[in-house]
Amino acid sequence: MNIPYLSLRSILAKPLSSFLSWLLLAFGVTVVLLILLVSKELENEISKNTKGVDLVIGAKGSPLQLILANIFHVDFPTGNINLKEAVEVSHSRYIGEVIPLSLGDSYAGYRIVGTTDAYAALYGAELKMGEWFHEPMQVVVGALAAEKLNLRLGDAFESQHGLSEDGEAHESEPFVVAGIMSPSNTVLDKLILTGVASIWQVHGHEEAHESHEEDSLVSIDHWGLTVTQEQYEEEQITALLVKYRSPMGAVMLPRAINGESSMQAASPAFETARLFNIIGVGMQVLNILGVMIIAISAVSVFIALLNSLKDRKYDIAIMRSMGATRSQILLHILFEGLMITFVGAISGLLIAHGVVYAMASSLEGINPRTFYFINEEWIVLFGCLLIGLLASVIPAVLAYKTDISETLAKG
Amino acid sequence: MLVTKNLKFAYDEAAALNFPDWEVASGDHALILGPSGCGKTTLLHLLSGLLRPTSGSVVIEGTHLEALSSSALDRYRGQHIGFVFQKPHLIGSLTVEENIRLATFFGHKPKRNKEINQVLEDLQIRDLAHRKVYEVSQGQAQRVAIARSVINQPAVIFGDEPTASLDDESCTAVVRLLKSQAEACGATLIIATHDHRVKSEFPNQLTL
Repeated sequence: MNIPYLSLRSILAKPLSSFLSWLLLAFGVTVVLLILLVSKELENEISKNTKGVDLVIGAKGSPLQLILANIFHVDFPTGNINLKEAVEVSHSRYIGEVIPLSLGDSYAGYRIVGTTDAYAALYGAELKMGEWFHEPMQVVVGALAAEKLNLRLGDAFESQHGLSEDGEAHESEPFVVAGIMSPSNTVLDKLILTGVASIWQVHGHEEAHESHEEDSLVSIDHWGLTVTQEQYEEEQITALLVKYRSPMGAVMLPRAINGESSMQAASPAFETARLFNIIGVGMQVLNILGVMIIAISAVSVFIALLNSLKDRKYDIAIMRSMGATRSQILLHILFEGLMITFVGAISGLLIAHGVVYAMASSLEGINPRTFYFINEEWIVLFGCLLIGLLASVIPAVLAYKTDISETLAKG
Repeated sequence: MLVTKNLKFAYDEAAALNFPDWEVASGDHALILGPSGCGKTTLLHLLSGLLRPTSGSVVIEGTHLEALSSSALDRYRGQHIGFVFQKPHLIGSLTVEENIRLATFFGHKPKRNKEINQVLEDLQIRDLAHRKVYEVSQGQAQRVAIARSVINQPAVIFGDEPTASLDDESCTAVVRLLKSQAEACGATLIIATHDHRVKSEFPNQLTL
């Protein structure tokens, strides 16, 4: 027998009102934490995938679309840009590293990206087996794509035009799996990488090339790419991922490209911040809702305790007659409020993490870190206990002040 | 063992209650008699330390109750005084046994399992030990209340109209139980009542 046990029994003795208080608090905490966890997870995903990319250069259109298509591989590309023009722009003295991307084909819903070795290196990807693509039509498959498509080394497949599964199949020579990457927890996991030239070859331009075998070669050194003169003149790519050589690039480059060329440049940092602003309003509304539910729960704890005091006046007086001190009665009521809020807050925390895990597992491309805890959660938990304390302090003080002689005389 | 002197209590200036000096010997059983509203309950609360007198003194076995601090008085009450009221007033969220155990907790006399079993046995409520208190009858509940009042082996047991709401048969049984339990733990029994059925049982009577 002790004070917390007494409080616990008192909570269990009125299951309905205790359940209501618990339910409200657990729900409120779930909403607040869910938003907190999801936005943290999103920020984390975004920063992981935009790491090392200062600027994306592509065809004119929506800058957000350019970023979504070329960095996160979720939206459709804005269009293509001429290789020659892209190479010329990339000679700018503000540009450090350049990675070309060529999008537009897929295999069973997984995107095929024509690029260079530098793209995999950007995310620090490593091969689980096989080797990187050297020859045309060789591909290296991301970990998730390989698992879902059941692809093994040496497997061959024909790509489809377009990024959806119902795209028209290319009737050209098939791609061959040369390597499979280890999971990197980045966007690479769901991609199929190949050389830029392979994409051109699939689209049938290669035939024209074969009659010009004597064609002189053009070496684009800073891309790590060598193409024929004809390819250089005629082929297209989708976008360039750019790293600035100096901070001045951030000032000069976007303006120069957007103003003076047929291409556009968009900054991943800026566009994702803009995206966050757009969805931020909705998140804020939900957050306020969650905090309000927590507040309502506090009111319900307050009312439940205050109401029960009427019935418990004699209980309290009897306990005092048995030797309970005023402080023990105060603690008894405080514990009761705190226990409900504590259990409610912990339940909310567990539910929120469970939901995040379930969501992350079902969402493609988000890699769930199941039970990681963030600092803000301690603040929410602590806040809940504070609210529970506030809700029970007035009933507790009233109980503390109970006039035992008067109460017992009326009994 | 219980001595009062010049005991006075005033709810307000106009209605002051003056109580005659009184003495009860150790192990003696005594009654406080009088019609409703004459201050029986007030006197009982003064004697048991539930209420502080405006002036005068209450001495139990050499301890001046009026001199104790608030928390010391609570502790003294828990250790040396037991109560039985008109209604049992058991704690509804606890079982019968836990109600008795609660008295040992607040009375700072933990680990009295043997005594608790004994008193459950003596009062024939052993079968009810793990029942919720709303599952037992009024008469059984009053027996639990008696068990609760004697478990800490107090020096004094105070009864405030413990028989008022009982029929003749139960009344006799409760008085008998109170007396035998008080004697068993060597306690002095003091009952405030207007119930004439119990008058003949107690020689030491204070009429207000």
